[in-house]
Amino acid sequence: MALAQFIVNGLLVGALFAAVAVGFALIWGVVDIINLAHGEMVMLGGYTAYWALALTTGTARGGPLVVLATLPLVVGVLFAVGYLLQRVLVKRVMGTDVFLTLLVTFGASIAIQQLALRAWTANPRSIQVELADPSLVLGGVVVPKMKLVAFLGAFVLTGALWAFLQRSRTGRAIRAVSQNPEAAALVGIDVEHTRATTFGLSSAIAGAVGVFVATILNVQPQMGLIYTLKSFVIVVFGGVGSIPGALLGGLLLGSVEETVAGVISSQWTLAVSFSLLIVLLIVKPNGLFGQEASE
Amino acid sequence: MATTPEYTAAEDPILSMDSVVSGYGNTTVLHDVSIAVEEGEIACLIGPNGSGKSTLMKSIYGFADIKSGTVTLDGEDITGRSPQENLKNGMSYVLQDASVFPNMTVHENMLMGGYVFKDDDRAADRAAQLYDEFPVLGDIKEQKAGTLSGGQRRLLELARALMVDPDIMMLDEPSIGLEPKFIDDVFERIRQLNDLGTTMLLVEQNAEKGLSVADRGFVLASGEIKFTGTGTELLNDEAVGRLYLGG
Ligand SMILES: Nc1ncnc2c1ncn2[C@@H]1O[C@H](COP(=O)(O)OP(=O)(O)O)[C@@H](O)[C@H]1O
Ligand SMILES: [Mg+2]
Repeated sequence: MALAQFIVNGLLVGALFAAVAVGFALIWGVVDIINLAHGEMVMLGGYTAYWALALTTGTARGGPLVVLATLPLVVGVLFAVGYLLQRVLVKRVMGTDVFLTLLVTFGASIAIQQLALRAWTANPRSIQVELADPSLVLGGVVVPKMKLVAFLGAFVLTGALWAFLQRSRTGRAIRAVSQNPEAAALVGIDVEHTRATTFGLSSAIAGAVGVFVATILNVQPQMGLIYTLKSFVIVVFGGVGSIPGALLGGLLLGSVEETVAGVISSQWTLAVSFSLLIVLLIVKPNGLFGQEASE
Repeated sequence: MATTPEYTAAEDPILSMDSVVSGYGNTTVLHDVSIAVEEGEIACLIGPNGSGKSTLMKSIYGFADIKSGTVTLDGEDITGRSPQENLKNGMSYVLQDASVFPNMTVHENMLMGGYVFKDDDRAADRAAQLYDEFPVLGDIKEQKAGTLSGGQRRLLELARALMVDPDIMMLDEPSIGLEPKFIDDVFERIRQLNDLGTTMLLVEQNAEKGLSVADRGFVLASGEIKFTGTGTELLNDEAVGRLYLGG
């Protein structure tokens, strides 16, 4: 029974990591940039929701619907942040040395962290969700309701992104740019705008995840790094640029880590996930879904 | 510039470059290039590898940096305009390098050719028309473009450039890498399209083949136009033959 609980816990948090990683994978696949500031978008999303609630209602608490109502704002703000990050900064180092691109996004992540620290201090903050009965018990497994909402939210966000890429005109432009940027320009796509839009969408999803993290855990200025690191592991695991790969990778990583933490000790989680990653890379060098590299 | 006496420059050109200096960033490739193409013509640009033929087309289309000079389309200054605007103005372009979207099907690639329409139904109708004209493409329209043979891919690139129903087309080495039987096919298509009124600007590695279909030819070397004339004149010109036709 305990094992079932660990796996459920793992899937619940894994979905959040997966949704963050999906954006990381999209930027990597489409813009060919490893965005080390991606985790900071989760942090900024959490703070945006926290302050939106705190400034409008006086306290960072509310019913589930009030909390969810901050999502459109967070998505809009983080889209703008991601869009500008690419348009103003990352664009300048596109196509240069990969170390330079890493340096620039790493620099951006440090700068955002420091600004957040100045503005909001290092105190962790959280959004209190008012629920009469915060948990469900299903067959002996405890499922906190807010974690379930976050889990479903992560799936909805990822699904919406997937549908957007497949169906919309902008989605087609994004896929075109990822497959052949010169050909995309040839057929009249504004490649720079499309790349910035990809950054914006990915950041918006990460920001929305930040809202859920603020409700089930907390936010603080240096929380971003772990999301960037896990995104990296998940994306390499699932195959660069693959959305289903990132989703599956996130769920798998979450359940493995929670199980290891529960059965052995939480100190072992990173060691086990990196060992798994290495084994997978030996067996399947392109990741689980590597062959679909540019979808 | 050596121009044979019978040759007349385009008087009322649909497309022209006037003293264009252009390149990429700090690199200058074209030095003071002027060309003019009359409506309804086939014009062919020849010259050695690296002489700047592709750069000339990229300069017209907004893919290279123009440092001075002007590009004019149908009497309008289009210097530095984006590909998007050029497509809307009826000019399309087939790049020398592979330019299909490999993970999209042939049909999706065709629809991307009509991206500037902002109208999916219109793009689908136009694609259907083009499948009638190119049945080979219709047969493989659900196939991923990354799996096509060289000849099929070149045909797709050509047909995709026709999605906007262009008045003027630029084709950069349309026959590159094709087997001889496909080369004749491509030139036949070019003639047919031209008969229907499309103005063509070609770059052709196979200079004799290119000049033989051309109403007008330009010889580019080291980023400068060295000779202009009708296709036949250039084919028969002793200096051009010696220097550029390997005869
Ligand atoms: N994107 C680019 N950036 C910098 N230089 C380029 C680029 N493309 C081509 N060149 C240079 O411009 C010159 C002309 O190239 P190109 O126009 O492709 O010649 P051609 O088509 O006649 O073979 C070459 O020296 C080439 O190296
Ligand atoms: Mg060339």
